[in-house]
Amino acid sequence: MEEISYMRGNQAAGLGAKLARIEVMGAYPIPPSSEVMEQIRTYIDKGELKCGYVETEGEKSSHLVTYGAAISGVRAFNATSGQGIAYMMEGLHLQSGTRVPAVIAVANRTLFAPHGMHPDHQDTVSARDTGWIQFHCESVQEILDTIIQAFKVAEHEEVMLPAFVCYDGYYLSHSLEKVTIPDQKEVDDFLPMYHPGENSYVGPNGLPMSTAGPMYDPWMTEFRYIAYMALNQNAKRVINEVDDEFGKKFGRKYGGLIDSYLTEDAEVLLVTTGSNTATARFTTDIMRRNGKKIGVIKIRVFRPYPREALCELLEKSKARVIIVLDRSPFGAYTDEAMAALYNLKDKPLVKGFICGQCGRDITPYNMIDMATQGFDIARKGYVDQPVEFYFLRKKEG
Amino acid sequence: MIEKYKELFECKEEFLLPSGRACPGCGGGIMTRLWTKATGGKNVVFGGIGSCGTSTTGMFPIGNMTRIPAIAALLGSNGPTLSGMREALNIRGMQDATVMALDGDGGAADIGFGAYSAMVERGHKVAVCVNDNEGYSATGGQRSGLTSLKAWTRTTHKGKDRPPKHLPFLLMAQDIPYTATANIGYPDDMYRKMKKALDQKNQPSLIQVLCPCIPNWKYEPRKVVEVSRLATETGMYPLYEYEKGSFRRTVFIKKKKPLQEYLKLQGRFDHVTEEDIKEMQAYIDALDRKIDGYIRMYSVEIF
Repeated sequence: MEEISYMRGNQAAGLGAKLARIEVMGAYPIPPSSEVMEQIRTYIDKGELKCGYVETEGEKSSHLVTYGAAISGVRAFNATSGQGIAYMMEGLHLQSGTRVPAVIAVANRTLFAPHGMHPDHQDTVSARDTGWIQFHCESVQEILDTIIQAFKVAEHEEVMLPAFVCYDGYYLSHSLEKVTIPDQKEVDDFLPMYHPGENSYVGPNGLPMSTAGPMYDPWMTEFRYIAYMALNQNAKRVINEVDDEFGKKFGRKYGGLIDSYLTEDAEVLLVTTGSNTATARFTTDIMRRNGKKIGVIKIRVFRPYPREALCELLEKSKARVIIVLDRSPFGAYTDEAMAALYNLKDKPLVKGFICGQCGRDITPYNMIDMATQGFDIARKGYVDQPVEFYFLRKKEG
Repeated sequence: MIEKYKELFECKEEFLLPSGRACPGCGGGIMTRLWTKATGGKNVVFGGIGSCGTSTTGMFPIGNMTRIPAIAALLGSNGPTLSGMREALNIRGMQDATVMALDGDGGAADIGFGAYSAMVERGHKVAVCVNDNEGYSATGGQRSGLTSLKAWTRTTHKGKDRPPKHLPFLLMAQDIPYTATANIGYPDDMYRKMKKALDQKNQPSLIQVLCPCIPNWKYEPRKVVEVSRLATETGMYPLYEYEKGSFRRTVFIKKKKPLQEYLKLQGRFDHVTEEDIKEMQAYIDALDRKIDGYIRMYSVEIF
């Protein structure tokens, strides 16, 4: 039976992992994601979840526990934030390179310095070329559902790659929202207990097979090639398929790689990632009430970057200006959007606003202002400054 | 003599393959051969290979160094990888499977010490064998935390000025169930310790094995065993073990040989002066006193 409850983002991540029946969790606390590991421990102690739980001395180790467990043929999970991702970095490459699926829940947080706790996306953006899949969630419900989807995508035999499920720290990790909890039986049906398949490292005797050995060999380019294809071709297809299947089963769909809101007749599009999507939808409604046609594109999956989907969407849309709401401090989201649209025949103008850094709020007023600037750009027909910091506080006097 | 080594030949199979790229006269090769034999080779997996293990693994897939599957973990991160594998195998009902590692001195005592310390604290059943070649041999022979006093390395041209760490002492402080030093020059003693390390029930163990390294120690390849034995005979590398709260020497040297005998066989001690030798002698004496202290401190069992 489906159940309706109120919970925080972190609890939803923990619950998603429980519904996915994880078997080993490597854990190390860091705000704002610490609550996830506490949640899993609670499930284990209550006897609701049979799961190995290893508390370590650092995020690098907690990730490698996850890696060691996943390579030994179980479904493994982890949760971290900000500095944790930076500390894990070495192992992230190891895991995607050896094609070992696992899921890490990431409550996004500022990377030091400046010393902060609040969210921006510098942590996961710095891990963008690690070969991991990156989902960005918009609501607490989406966190729960995406964790379940992410396991299914990661373990798909044509993908076999690890995945991050990112959600903005505090904005989502600590805000209470209404969540429909799917029935365990239906989740089991959608995502059966993990069984290491032929593509996994688990050998006929049940033990993991060698990964040591490939050294000195220039022909390892092909390893890179198959990992690249798995991420940029297979994963894109599988993410859409899994989202469709999830939609059919549970009635909730997130658009696969990319979600759009009123894009077809829009003149200006806001491109968002993470929790600011909800604000952008709200802004769109307000602007439309005043006759200004804007729309929203949500980059739900940042890695693999949905280039084709984005181009396809813009070919269908009237919009000639897109405004990227860039939560990464060095403009990575704008760069990616520009790169994706570069080969489009009739390409729109792209303007990136770096905003929401270190957790600064992006309000509907800000978005209205950005969209208005978008209309100005559309009128002028060119962009002065392609990437710009939005709304800096000026020194008075 | 043959009778003494009988146990070594209990396992007729060889697990170290000819494709291994160890140098002639490599102490680590001897250690790896016996460490893999000690496991019996069945139902066993390397959770991490460090040290020269990685660079001598050979070409994939033509040949791995050993016939035992090996997960290549990161340098200094064998501890958590082993823990994760152990936990996963336990969850899958494979408690009998042995998870073990072959790590280097740098990987175990320097970059990976925190990880091992935490692994021991968590208490997973994992056996670790440390290939102590007194330096970062796989990376070309730089100073490590286990490089012995006054030894030349590529980064200590005038000899290292600090005494080495002792991994077993460090882990004894957190009550590891089994830890020991061993020496490839005493294969019976080493093999027995390896067996003991692997036979710990649901508990971690770590042994540190002295393995001379040709390119960095600069000795004649045929003298590998001699050099190795002299390290213990002169008192530079005492052999002891710590098991469930009792500490003991396992090889007694009644009359220590003069230190010069050990030093003159190796190029890495060419630069040592009389004063250096005095300093080393003082270190040996202090180490002896320390071990005697440990023997008094922990309940004594005569071996």
